[in-house]
Amino acid sequence: MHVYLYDAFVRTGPYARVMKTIENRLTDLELSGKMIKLAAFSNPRSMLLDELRSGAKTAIVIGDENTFGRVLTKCADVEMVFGWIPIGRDVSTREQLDVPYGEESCRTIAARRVIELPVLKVNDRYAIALAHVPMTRVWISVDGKYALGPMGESMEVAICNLRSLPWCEEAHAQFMNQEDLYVHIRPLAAGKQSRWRPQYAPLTSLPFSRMTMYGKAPFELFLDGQRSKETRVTIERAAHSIRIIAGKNRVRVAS
Amino acid sequence: MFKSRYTEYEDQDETSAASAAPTGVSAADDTVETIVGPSVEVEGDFNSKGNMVVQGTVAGNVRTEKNLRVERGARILANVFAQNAKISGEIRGNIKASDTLELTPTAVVVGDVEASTLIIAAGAILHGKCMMPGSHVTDAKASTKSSRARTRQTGDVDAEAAA
Repeated sequence: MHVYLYDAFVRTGPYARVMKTIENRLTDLELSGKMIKLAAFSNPRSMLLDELRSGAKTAIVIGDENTFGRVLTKCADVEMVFGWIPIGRDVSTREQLDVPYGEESCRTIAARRVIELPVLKVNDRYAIALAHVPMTRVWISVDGKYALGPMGESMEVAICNLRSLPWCEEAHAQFMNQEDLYVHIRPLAAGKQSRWRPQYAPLTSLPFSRMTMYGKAPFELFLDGQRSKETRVTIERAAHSIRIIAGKNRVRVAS
Repeated sequence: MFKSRYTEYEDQDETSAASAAPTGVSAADDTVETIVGPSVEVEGDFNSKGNMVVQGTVAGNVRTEKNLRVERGARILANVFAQNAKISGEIRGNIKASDTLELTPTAVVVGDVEASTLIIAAGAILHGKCMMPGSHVTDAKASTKSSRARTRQTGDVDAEAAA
């Protein structure tokens, strides 16, 4: 049985028509199921646990990357298969999963090619694509053995799983098939900085199995696009992996 | 920019592998697994199983089972252990390389070095002792001491025989 979690915006404006065609297509493919609207304060985890108890096996998220991230950061440990029907402006992770945009993704859902993806565990939440800390002054303790920090004012940190950022794309491609997780760090170059065009020092890329990030002041953390403020964050690979419906030509990540 | 930097690493690796790791290092082992960039400082013992490039500052022991490259401008303030090491920066501590240790013209090493093969370029600064395991050259002091002891022993034996 399928459960569909859709974001409120897909029923409005230009997306309402796309949503209707998706509903028709799902009915044609005999994939119809319960539709649940994700309101601003609704908790997707409790919703999915209720549906799991009533026999649901597959949860399909309809919305953009933010919606997908919002569901997975809370529900990655729920024993269900997850799928995604991408609608909206920011849907870039669909390329890594090889899921087409809008109505066409129904065919991928129908094909039900389930893959297991490693998940990042960040405190009590999860990330499948990316954990990112924008430019800030933080220190990182790696495996409890050594600590590192910026020589200059601040640094940017990214832990890439399925996705990467433009500045660490090359490094991520180099290390993504390694057994360990990798943290990529881009510090500001030492010396006077231009306000408009900051100069960055070359990257630092380190393997880790468990790392802690801490700062004197709270810093921003983005988990699959979900923003939060933290003072101390522990990141490691989750003991379980997530089961996701993906296309044929997905990006392969070492698990 | 980054693309060129990483290709540069790979190129350098190939050349350094040719010069610094003459034996037992295949092309597949040349990939860099850990990069400590400049503008980053590390405190604590830094262990790695793969190849390592240090461009920043490390205040703690650095240990890798494979190749280590310390770039110009980098500083390591403790002991270094590696299979092959190519030093272009500053190291204040002892270096132990199980295979090859290469000091380039910009290298500054304050500490003892131990390696099976040691390459020191003109201009490199080394303040410390050099040791090479496996070489059978006996120490001059030790050989004098042992010869004296031998003479004493033979002297004792002669005295006993005379008695």
